[in-house]
Amino acid sequence: MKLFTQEKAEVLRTLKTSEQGLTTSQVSRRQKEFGPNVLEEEEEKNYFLSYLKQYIQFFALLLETAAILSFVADYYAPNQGNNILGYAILGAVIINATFSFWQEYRADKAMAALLKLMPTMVTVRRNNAITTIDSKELTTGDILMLVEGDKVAADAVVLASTSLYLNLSPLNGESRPAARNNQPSQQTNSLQAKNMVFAGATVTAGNGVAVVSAIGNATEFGKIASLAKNVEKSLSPMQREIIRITRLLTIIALVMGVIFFVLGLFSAKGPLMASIFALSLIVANVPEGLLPTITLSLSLASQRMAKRNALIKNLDSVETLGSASVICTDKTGTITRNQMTTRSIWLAGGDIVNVSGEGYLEPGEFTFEQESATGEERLVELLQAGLNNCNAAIDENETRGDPTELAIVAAARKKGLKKNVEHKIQEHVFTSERKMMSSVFQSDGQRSIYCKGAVEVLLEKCLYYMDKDNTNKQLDASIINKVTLQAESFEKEAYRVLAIGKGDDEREEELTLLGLVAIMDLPRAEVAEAVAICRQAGIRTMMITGDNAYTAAAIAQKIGMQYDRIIQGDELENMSDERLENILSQEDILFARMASKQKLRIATALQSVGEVVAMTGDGVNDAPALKKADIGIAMGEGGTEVAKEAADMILLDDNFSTIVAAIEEGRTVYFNIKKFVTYILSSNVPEIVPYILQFFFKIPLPLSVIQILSIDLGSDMLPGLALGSEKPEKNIMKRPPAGSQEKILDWEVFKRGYFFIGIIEATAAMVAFLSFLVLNGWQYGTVDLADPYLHRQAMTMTLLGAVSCQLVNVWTMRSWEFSAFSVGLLSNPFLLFAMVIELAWVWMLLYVEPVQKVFNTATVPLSHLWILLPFPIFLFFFHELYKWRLRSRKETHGT
Amino acid sequence: MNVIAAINGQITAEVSAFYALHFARVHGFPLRLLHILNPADNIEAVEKSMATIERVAEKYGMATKRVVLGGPPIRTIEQYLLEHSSEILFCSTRYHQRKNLFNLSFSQKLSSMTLPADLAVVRVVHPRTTLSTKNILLFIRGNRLSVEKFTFFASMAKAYKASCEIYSVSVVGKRQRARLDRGQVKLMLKNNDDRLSHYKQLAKHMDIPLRLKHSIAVNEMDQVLYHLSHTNFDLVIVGGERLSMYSSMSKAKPIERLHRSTSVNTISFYLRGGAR
Repeated sequence: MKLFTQEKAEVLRTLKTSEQGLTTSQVSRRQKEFGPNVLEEEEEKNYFLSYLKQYIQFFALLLETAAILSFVADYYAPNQGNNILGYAILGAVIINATFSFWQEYRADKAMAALLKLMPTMVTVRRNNAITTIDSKELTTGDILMLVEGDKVAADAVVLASTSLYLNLSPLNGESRPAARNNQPSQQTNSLQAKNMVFAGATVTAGNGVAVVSAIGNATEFGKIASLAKNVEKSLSPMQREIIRITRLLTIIALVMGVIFFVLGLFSAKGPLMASIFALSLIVANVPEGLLPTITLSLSLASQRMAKRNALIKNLDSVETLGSASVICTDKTGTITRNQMTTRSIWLAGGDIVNVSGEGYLEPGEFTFEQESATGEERLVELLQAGLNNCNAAIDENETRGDPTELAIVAAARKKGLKKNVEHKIQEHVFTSERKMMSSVFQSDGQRSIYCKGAVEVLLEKCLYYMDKDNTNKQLDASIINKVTLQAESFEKEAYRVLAIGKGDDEREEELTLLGLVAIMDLPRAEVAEAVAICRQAGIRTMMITGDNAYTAAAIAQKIGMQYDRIIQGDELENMSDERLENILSQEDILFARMASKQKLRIATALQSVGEVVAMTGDGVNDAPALKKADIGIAMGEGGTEVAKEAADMILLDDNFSTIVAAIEEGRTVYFNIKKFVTYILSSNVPEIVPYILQFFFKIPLPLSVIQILSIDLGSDMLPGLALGSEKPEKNIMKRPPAGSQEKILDWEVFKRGYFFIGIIEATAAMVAFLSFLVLNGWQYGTVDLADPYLHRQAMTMTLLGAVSCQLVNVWTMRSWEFSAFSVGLLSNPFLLFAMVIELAWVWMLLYVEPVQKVFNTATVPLSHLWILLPFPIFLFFFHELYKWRLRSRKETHGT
Repeated sequence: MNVIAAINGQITAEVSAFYALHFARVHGFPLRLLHILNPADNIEAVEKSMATIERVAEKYGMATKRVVLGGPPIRTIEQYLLEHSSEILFCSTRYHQRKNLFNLSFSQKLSSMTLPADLAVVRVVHPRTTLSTKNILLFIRGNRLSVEKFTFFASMAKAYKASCEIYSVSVVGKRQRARLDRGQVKLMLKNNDDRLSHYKQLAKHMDIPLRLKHSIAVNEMDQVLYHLSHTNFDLVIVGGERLSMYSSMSKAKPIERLHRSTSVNTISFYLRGGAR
C-alpha cells in the first residue's frame, strides 16, 4: 500500500512520527540516516584539468612531438631556424588547445535554476513546538506547516488543510492551482493523489499541515532534477566530424612522415635530416588552423542567429541545427500565437456571428451569417455578460489574466463595451471540479448573476434561453439537443467552447442561456510557410501538445503539417519502446494529450532511430527532454528559467519560424565549414609537394617549415574565417539535413581540395620556384646554392605561388556548386577585409625585414612576379568549370 | 539456515528487516532479529521495532527469534554469523557524504570484510511499508550476472510477486560512444540480450515476469539514476563488490554514489567471501 492511500494514523505510524512532530533525538538520528534534504548537485568541474587534457589529444601530441623534434634538430644543427619552428609549433598547439577548450566549456546552470525553486527556510512542528529551520535540515517524518506563499521543500502527505491550493507547474506543467485535502487517495500515481504535496510546488492559497514522506532525490522533484542532471548527451555531429577529420588528417600526416623518414634513413641524408624532413611533412599535412577557424566561424554564426531571435548557448548547437532531421514542437505559443481569439458566437436563438481580427489587440468586425432583427441587441447582451464575468483585462500596453477570459474581453472590446466593475459584489471562482465561474452584481437593490463555463455544466444550471424575439423561453430537450450539437460542431473544428448565461438573483440556478462562444488559439501567420520549408528541406515536423486530438489535428491542418497518425498520451503510456521506435522510423506522428514527461521518451525514441532531434519546451518538467534532445529549444518569452538553462538555444520570440531560420543558418555554417576545409586542404598540397620533389630530385629546398606555418596560421586563417561567414547557398533548404548524406570531410572534399585545386597550386608554387632559379642562372643538380639570399628569394616565390592561388581560391570557393559570380562581389564584407589583410601580410613577407627574418623570406623584384600571374587565373577558370560540371551532373541525375 | 536482520530501532533498519522477513518467508528460513547493544540506540525503540516485525511475521506463520548481544559490533556480528550457520544478513545503511574516508559506517565496514554469509545492505529513502513493492530492478554491468545475484533478485521478486527488470549498462568511452553507429549499438545490445536470455527463461519457469533492458553509457551511475528517475521502480538491487575499506581512498565506489543519490530503496547484495 502506498503511503497516500492510508489513513492519517497509519501514515504517522508508518513514518514513526506523531502530529506533535519528531523529538530532537529522532531528528538527529534521522538526519544521519536519510541525509540532508538536498538535490544531488553537479560535481564541480575542474576547468584547469579540462584545459590540460586538450594537450594530450592525438592531434596535439603529434604537434608536440614535432616541436620536440625541432628543438632536438636545433640542438644538433643550430642557427637554422629550427628553434623558431619549435616555438611556432608550440604556439599552434596552445592556440588549438585554447580554442578546443573554449568550445567544450559550457557552464551547465540547469541544476542551479532548479535549486532556486526550493525554499531555504521552512516551518515545522518539532517537540510539539512550531519552529523555522533551514530546509536542508528537514527529514522524513517532520511535520510541515504550510501557508499561502510557501514553497514546499519535500514530498509530504497532507494531515490537515483549509482551502489548500498548490501550484504544481514545476512537476506537471499545469499552471492552474490544484486543490489539496487530507482524504486518503485511491490513485496509484502519487502525482495524482490529492492528499500529497510536493517539493518544488508553491502554496497559492489556504494552509495545511503535512508529514514529510520523502526528501532530496527521493522526491518527485528530485527525479526531475536527476533526469535533467544525469541525461547523457551524445557528441554533436560537428564534434564527431572534428574528431574524424583530425584523426584522418593526422594519420595521413603521420604515415607520410614515417614513410619519408624511413626513405631518408636509407638515402644519403642521414638520421637528422631524415627526421627534419619527416617533421616538415607532418607539419605540412596537419591543418593547424582548422580548430580555431571552426570555433570562430561557429561563434560568428551564433551572433548572426541572435539577430534572428535565436540565442545560442552552446556553440556546437549552431552546426547541430544544420543536421536537425526532426523538429518536435509545442503547439501553444510556438505554432500558435498563445492569444486565444473569439472566432464565432452562437446566440441562443440560433444565429451564428463570425468575428474577425486575431489576437487581443487587433480590431475586428462582427458578421451575422443570416440577418436578424434582434441579433445585435442579443450579441451585446452576451458580450456584456461575458465581460462582466471576467477578471482578465486588456489595456493599451498590457494584457493580464486567463487566456480564455482575454478572448472574451477582446471580443467585447471590438464591440466597444466596458466592464461594470463598480457593481460587482461577489465572485464564485472557477475550479477544475466546478468547471464554471460566476459573478454577482447589484444595481438599484436588484441582484443579478453572470455565469460562464463548460457547456454541459451550464446547461444543467439553465432553465431558460434567450430566443430570437429577445424573450426568455423554456429550455426544453430539443433546444438542449440543438445547443449540444452546435457545441460539438465547434469542438470538431478545434474550438474551445464556453457557454454564457445570466440569472436574476445571486444563485447559480435557474439561469438563462445567452449563447456559446467559440475560441481558438490561432496559428501564427508565418508558420505554414516555415512548415513547408521544413518539408522541402527533408526535416520532419511533429507537434507535441497537451490539447486533445481534435485541436491538434485542426491546427496541423491549418499550418499544413502532415502526419500519418495521432498518438495520444494514454496510448503512448502503454506502448513499448520498440513499438514506438518502429512507428517513429516510418511515420510522422501528431502527439496529443501529452504530458511533459512523455517528451523525453519521444526524444529518446527518435534518437534511437538515428534522428537528430530539435525539441521545444518551456516548463520546469520539460528540462530533461530539452537536455536529452540534440537541440533543446527553450521559449524566451514564456519559458521558465530552468528550461532556458537546460536548453541549447533560446527562441527570443517563441516563434516556430525562428527555429527554421536557425536551421537554415546551421546548414549554412555546415557547408561553409566544408568549404573552408576544402580551402585549407588545397594549400596542403603546395606545402607537401616541394618536399617530395626535393627528396626525389636534385633541387634546393623550395619551402621551409616556418613558411608552411605562415600559410596555415597566417595567410589562410582570415580568408578561411571569411568563408565561414558566407551567406546561405540558394539551395540550402532544398538539401537533406547536413551530415545525413554528406559529411564535412568526404571524397568530394579530398578530390577537390587535394587532387584538383591542390595540384594546380602545387604546380604554381613549383613553377614559380624553378622559373625564378633558372632565370637567375641555376642549373639542375645544384642542391646547395652558393647565394643564400637567392635561395630565400626562390623560397619566397614558392610561398607566393601558393598564396596567390589561395587568394583566388577563396573567391571561387564561396559557393560549393554555383558560380562565384552568383554570390555577389560585395556580399561578404568580411572577405574583402580578409583579402586586404592577406595582401598586407604578403607585402610584409616581401618587404619588412623583421618578418623576413622570422619567415626566411626575401624581397623579390617586381619584374619576376609575372611568373605567378597565369596560375590563379587558370585555377579560377577551371574551378568554375568544375562546379558547372557538378551542377550539370546533378541536373541530369535529378538530385 | 537463518536470515539475520540487524535492528537498531531506527525506521530504516525496520524497513530493511521487512525485506529480510520477505526473503526468509520465500525460502522458509527462520528470521533472527539481531541487536548489538549500543549506547547510541534506544532499547525501547529497538524492542518496538522487533515487536512490529514479529507481528507481521506471525501473520505469515513465520518463526522469529530475538537476539541481543553485547560487545564490539563488527566482531560480535562476525562471530554470530560463524556460529549460527547464517544464510544472509540484512542491514540498513545511512546516507554517506561524498568524501568520508575515515568515518566508515557499520555497513561499509561489513561490506569490506570476509563474512561467512551473504550481505544485503539496504539504503532506505522511502520508509513506507515494503508491502507496496510492485516493480523491482536489478542493475548489472554489461552481461555480468552471477547465479547467486540472480537468485537473490528472484527471491525478492517472488516474495513481492513483483514485475522485474534486469537493466544492463555497457560502459564505453565518450569517443567510442561517438564512433558507434546504430548497427554496432544494436549488435552490442543484442549480444548482451543473448547472453542474459537464459535468465529470462529461468524467470519464466519460476513464474516471475521479467524483462531485459540494455543500454550503452559513458557513466553507468548517471545512466542508472536517469533510468530510475523516469520509471516507477520501488526497489533496486545491485551487486556489490567486496573491496577493501581502503579502496575508496583511490577512487570513489560507484555503489556509494548510487546509495547517496538513489530515488528508490536500494539493496546492495554482497556474496559471501573475502574482500580484495
